Amino acid sequence: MNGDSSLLRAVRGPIILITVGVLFALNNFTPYGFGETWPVLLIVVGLLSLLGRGIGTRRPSGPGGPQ
Amino acid sequence: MRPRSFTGPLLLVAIGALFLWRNIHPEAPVFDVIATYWPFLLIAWGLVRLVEVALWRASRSAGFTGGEVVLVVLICLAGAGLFEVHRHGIRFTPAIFGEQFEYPITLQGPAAGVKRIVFDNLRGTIRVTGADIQEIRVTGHKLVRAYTRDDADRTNSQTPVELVPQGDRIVVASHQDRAPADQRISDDLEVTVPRGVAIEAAGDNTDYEIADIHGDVALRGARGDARLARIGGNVRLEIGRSGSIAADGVQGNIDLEGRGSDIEIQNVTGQVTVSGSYVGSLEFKNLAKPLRLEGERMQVRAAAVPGSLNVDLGGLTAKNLVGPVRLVTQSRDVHLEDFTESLELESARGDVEIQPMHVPLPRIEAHSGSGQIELVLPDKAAFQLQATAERGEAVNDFGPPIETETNGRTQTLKGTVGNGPVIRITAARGSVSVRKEGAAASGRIPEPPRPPALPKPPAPPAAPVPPAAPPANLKESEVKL
Repeated sequence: MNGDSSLLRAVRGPIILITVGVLFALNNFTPYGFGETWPVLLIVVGLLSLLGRGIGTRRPSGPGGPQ
Repeated sequence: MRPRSFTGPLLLVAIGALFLWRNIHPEAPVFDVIATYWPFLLIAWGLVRLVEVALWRASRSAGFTGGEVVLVVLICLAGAGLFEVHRHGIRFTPAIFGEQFEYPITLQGPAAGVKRIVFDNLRGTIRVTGADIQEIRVTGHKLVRAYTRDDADRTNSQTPVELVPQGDRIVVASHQDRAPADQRISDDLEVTVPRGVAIEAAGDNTDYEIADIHGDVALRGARGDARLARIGGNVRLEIGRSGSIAADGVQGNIDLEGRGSDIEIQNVTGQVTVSGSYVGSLEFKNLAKPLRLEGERMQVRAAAVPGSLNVDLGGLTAKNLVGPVRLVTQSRDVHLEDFTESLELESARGDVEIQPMHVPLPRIEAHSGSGQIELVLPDKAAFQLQATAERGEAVNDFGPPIETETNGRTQTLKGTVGNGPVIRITAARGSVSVRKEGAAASGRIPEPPRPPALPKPPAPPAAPVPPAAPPANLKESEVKL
């Protein structure tokens, strides 16, 4: 178990949750509806998994592959 | 062991606080606040989890459990739904909470020489009856929805129903706009007035019932129903969204504008004009002057309707119309029986059956996009016929004077009998058929067997047309003016 990748796994959920919350808040308080902003979620998820991969390759000793 | 997350207990505290707030201040718009601010719950939840990760060095902290994910999805769905409802102007607080208090209304005033009675009732019902009296009498009750009797009493005294004379008119003022926003007030009034007056009313959500008035009637409103009987003057109705509009026995013209469901208009001496979108069943009977329906998806014109014209999910059925008749429909079966002068018919989709019944025949020009056209002519009719099925079968059940021509996929029936009017029929996709009144249709038509003569059952489905009536596909079969 390496520390970095498990930290990333731990923060991934909360970060996605916060993104969802922000998008819905934008939906309620600005003209940008959730119908328009939802791709941000894909981007966030993609970035998070990219980060995970970066950590995995930097420390090839860890298990870090695809989960 | 990973320490248990704070979020569960925090969520519980938040929910408890919200309900406590609502119970202590029932007038507070708690649900509206929830509908608007719920996304911050998700943000706060995420932040709490982040802090936990930081505090516990992430050593054992796992991701979200399945239950939490389901909960988040549910919160999102419920929150988005609440917000949509909230945005469309529905407020949760006043409608759901509070108690209803009732106050009686009785008042009267002199009405000699008065020509118009004007109502500014915003919400409620108004029932007006004309009588041989020289005064105006109002009875009824007021309903106030409030949280306490004191509130309701105060509102009641602020919103008296008053008769305000203004020149030759009397205003029946309800002062509903003085009620506080968190209370709901409605007046149900029964009003007796001198027969000769005119009635005007503007309401937000008002149902009207007006009878035995010799003057004009003009009603406006955002929503509501109207029922009129024995009106001497012209009637003008502009109701944004109505459930049912009924008028029986009107001497003047009727002008109806708006959207809604059902219409029932009968025994009218003046013109009847209906414009807007009405999706329920429409019934017109015994109209002495021209009828005009102007809708997004249907237009009807007739010089008079001594018989009847009905529109519902089954289609449009008209019997005994005075022409010239003009009919444009989008998707609906049409059955036209007994009409004079001329017919101009344009049907985009749906089967058409035309039966003029009487000689001399009217002029007929009918075109259908997809759907069959059936023409039933009387035995001794004189006419010049040209009936074309552009991509379908032309069936001649009339007999020898009519001949069938085939040109590629197009079949045409042509024939001249005596010296009669021109009958031109075109079906772009679907068959055309001509037969004699009382004679059975031949078996050459590939469609389901048809019963011998009138009355026609609710339309056998034609080849490319989706079944006409089943309400399963409401979008298609919905009756829309």
